[in-house]
Amino acid sequence: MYDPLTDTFLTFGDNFISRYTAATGALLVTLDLLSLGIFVDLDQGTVDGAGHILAASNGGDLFFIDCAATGSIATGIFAAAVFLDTNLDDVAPLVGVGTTTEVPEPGMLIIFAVAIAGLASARHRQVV
Amino acid sequence: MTLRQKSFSVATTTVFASLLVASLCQVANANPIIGELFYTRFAGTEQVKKVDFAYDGATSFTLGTKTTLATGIGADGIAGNPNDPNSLFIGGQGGSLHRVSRDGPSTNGAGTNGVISSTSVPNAAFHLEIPNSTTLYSSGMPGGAFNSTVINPDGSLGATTSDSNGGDDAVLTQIITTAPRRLLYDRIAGWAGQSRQYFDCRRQFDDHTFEYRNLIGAWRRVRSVDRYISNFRR
Repeated sequence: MYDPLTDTFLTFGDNFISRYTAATGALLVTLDLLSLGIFVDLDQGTVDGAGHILAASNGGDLFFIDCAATGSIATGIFAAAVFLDTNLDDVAPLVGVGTTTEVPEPGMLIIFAVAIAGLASARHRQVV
Repeated sequence: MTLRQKSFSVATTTVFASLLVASLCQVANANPIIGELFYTRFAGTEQVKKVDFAYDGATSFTLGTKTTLATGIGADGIAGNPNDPNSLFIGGQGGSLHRVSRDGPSTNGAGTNGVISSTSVPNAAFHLEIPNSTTLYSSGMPGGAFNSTVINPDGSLGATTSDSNGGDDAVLTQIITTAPRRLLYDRIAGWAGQSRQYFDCRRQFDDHTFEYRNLIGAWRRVRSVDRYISNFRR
């Protein structure tokens, strides 16, 4: 899964989540979930582009990581495994072309801000 | 309107706009999140479902009520349809891809099983990747060649071509694309008792192709990958 927030990609398997640089394919870090006391059998996962990872375990758990604060999957994270469904397989992307969720893009926020500023300017000219 | 009133009006508008933009930015970057997650089940009768999730930003991650979207089909990989926000693509496990309604059975042109249409493809279709609005990749688990299927402007699926993925890779499970570079990788997924630790990667950048092959246990043999890249750069 490509993570546009960090320009990296993630792989999921067994108890492991690994992050690689997109530019070179070099491994940055591997998180062994057993070290967090969580046993999962990961299949596919996704990111939300804001520092959160959701991954499906074939055992039925949905694994969640909040690494927004540190940007790293190895330190300073909140992690939880919550049972979702039996025979759980894959989850759909939350970012990218094949996303299923409409998330406000930073670019759209800038455009919105410019539009607001324009309205304010127009009102200023109108009253002056 | 007096000058004081005019100044007050402009200031009020500016402050309001600033607060609005700030609040929107805060929403975009806020740690607490809520969302909707679509997922598949590899067995059973209800193969495509969705669930709401919520995270309080600190210590609680919870799931909401699950909703069944499609039944009675093979299902593995799942992705949104870039040309039709009302449908999803599903890897059918065998040689088929399904387009299902994201709102469930009998909606958005779907039948009572939630399926809008099914398309046959030459290779097994498990995991999916959508690099752009016109292409859907589907790969085996593990498999050799993968499918490259056209996504039509109306969201329907068109013709499929088979990509050999370099010809000697028999364990492809997943394709990832990144922008502006294009990255393909695969790994054995532990199917049929095989190890998950294998890693194999082909990267295309401009008109060059980098290939990392048969690197067993990628995260334990990073130096091999680094050495390969260093050699290439020379």
